[in-house]
Amino acid sequence: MSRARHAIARDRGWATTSRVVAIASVLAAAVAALPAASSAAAGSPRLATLEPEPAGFTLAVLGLDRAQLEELRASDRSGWPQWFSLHVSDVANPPVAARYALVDDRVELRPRFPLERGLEYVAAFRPGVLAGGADADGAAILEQFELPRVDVTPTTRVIAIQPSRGLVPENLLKFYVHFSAPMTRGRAYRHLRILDSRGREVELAFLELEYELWDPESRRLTLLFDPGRLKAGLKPHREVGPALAGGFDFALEVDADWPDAEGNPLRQGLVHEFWVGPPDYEQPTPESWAWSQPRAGTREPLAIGFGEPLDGALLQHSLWVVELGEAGETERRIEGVVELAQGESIWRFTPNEPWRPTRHELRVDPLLEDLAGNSLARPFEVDLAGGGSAVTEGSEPAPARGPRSGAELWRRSFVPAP
Amino acid sequence: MRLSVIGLSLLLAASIAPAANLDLGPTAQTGQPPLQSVGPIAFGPDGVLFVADAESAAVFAIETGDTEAATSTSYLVEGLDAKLAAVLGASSDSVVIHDLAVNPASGRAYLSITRGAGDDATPVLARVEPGGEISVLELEQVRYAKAELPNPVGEEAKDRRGRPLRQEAITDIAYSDGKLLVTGLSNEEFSSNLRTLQFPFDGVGKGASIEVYHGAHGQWETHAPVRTMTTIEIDDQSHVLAAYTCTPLVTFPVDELTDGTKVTGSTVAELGNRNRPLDMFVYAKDGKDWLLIANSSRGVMKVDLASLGPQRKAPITEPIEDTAGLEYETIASLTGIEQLDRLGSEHALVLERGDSGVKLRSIALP
Repeated sequence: MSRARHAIARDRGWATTSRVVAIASVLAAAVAALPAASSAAAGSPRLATLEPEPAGFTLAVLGLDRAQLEELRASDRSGWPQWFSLHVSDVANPPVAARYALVDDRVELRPRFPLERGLEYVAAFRPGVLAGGADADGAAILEQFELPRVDVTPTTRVIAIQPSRGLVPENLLKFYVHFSAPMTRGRAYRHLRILDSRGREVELAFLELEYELWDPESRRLTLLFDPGRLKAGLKPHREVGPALAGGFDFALEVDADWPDAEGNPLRQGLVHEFWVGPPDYEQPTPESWAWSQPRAGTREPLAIGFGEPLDGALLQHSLWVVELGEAGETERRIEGVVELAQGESIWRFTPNEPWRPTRHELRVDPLLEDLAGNSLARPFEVDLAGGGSAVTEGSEPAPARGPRSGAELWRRSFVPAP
Repeated sequence: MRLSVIGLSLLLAASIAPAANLDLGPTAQTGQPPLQSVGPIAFGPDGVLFVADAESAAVFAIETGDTEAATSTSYLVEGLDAKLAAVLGASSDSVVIHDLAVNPASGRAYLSITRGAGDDATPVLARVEPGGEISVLELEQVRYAKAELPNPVGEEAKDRRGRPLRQEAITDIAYSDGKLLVTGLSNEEFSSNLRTLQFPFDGVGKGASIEVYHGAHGQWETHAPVRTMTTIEIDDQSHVLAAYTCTPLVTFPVDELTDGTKVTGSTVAELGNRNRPLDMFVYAKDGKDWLLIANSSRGVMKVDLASLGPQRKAPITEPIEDTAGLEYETIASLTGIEQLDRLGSEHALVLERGDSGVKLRSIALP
């Protein structure tokens, strides 16, 4: 139940008398007053809450007489907050942005944005200012109230971290943190960090972006390791070294007090431990992927083993299957369910309908990346002196292998066996 | 996210007068721009406010009608974060300030803000007067145009509302002479790019997408994301001046930024390691051009751009020890600066974060 304190006070010395009034009774009084208001005796304007829910919250001044209403109709509305306003916590704060309307014989105030639960507000009405404008120090009627929090039991939790496997390359490019419910944006870097094996925070590990990289639902956060620290030829890499040093243990720590979109903390914090292996400068090579082909007439999964973990987010939509027509000129995308297994190193696709014994084609977006940002299209690092080839361990140029065309899909056809 | 719409007759907020016959291009319309989010903002000519909306993968050009010069150019707003939260009817924790821009046509400050979180997150644009008065921009009936960013992705996974999961955060925008430059970074595949949009937006509303590399750190071609950028004239030619993490400053000729090209920039300065550049702008003083750049851990620097002229030195291509290239001085009196913009010809407006909150204040250009 919400609570309200109703105080009548002089400006600049607010709290002289106060009594506690439940907001519902204010509401009831207001609603009861409405039918009578049009013909009611004037001279006793008062504050009322017409709608107590945060989303449509509406305050009103009731009981205005005919002369006051006429005057209000003719007045410049930009001055209305001087006699009727809503504030956060204290009337000394600037008034909450609101829309005003003259409806029948009352003036309504609706905050521009939904009120926030758990926050204290003060509604202020200054009849003296309304009466003549000169009496700014006249009596003010203040309503102080707070909308109760609905549920403070934390329910949101981290449901997955990718890469999920413990072993990652030294030049790991990103983590994905998946939550069970929408989170607040704009404070990720305050609530998570990389710890080394002694529990010390790794300095400037992430590319801290003003606009954090969330999915549209605010349930998946992308954490990029700073590419400036990853590039083998870059100054920070040589001077500071990569954030993650090969051969050592690290942990990604997520704080429990990270607020979700409802403002509640997480159900618990999390420490995701991982260990760091050698850097990966090799592009994924689809030619070497392992296949397990399904049989026609069944809904057996098409499974592909990459031989290494790939990017968990991209794997959700970077591979797909089409069924080709007899002459190959028509095609139909096969609908189904994608599952990832063994630390995102296996992609498994189960079609909604049984496979037909015709020619199919697996297509792969060339932007699909491994954990170090090497995509099918190009390696993450390119040595200009070495003619555009990828680097290998020890920063010696690898045998030249030109990047693929960025737009070219990788394709492989197959026919489900009868 | 959505804009809150409450259909009442009066709003105490900055009213926007759809007035002048400003050319916003053939897609211009009057109504409420369907902003799903707000990020970086920048001003174009005649009070046109550009707003980057990463959720919509679009940039909006909004006619503010704010073309009358403010009565004062002196700002000192203490506790801006708390005051902003009060106006938005929220706690300070619920309000995130994304960007600051000064309207050169009026000298007034504008902020892009997100109020709330998750599905309740609401994008807000607000104006701050020199006296400190804060008003929320009323966007129900404005003239605006929308330019969609070209979507490089064919096959898309969608969330429950049908929005693509693979998105691009717009990290900065800058306007120069009929061109809007947009840098972005994807939340999935690693792609850092720079796009140019013609303004007024043409009917198609699609910009050119360019891959930008800078090969200045020894021999390695890098594809690191631009952190902040502005534009400058070098030899009467418009250039992008971009800053990256660990602070190389790189230039690209704007004319070379055409669709589908791969552009390699020239590194003109290295401003130091263990540092993120936050915001910057170019100004003229004492007959010379200067760059004022705010940094995460190296303070605010005043960089001498005079040597970018015809007699400029060769770009940096070899590894260097600490800093190199353009000369600069660090302004000792400026600490905790997160955002800055030019305010008229003699002042800057800075957003300063300290122990007592966020302060918005004007300073004389150093």
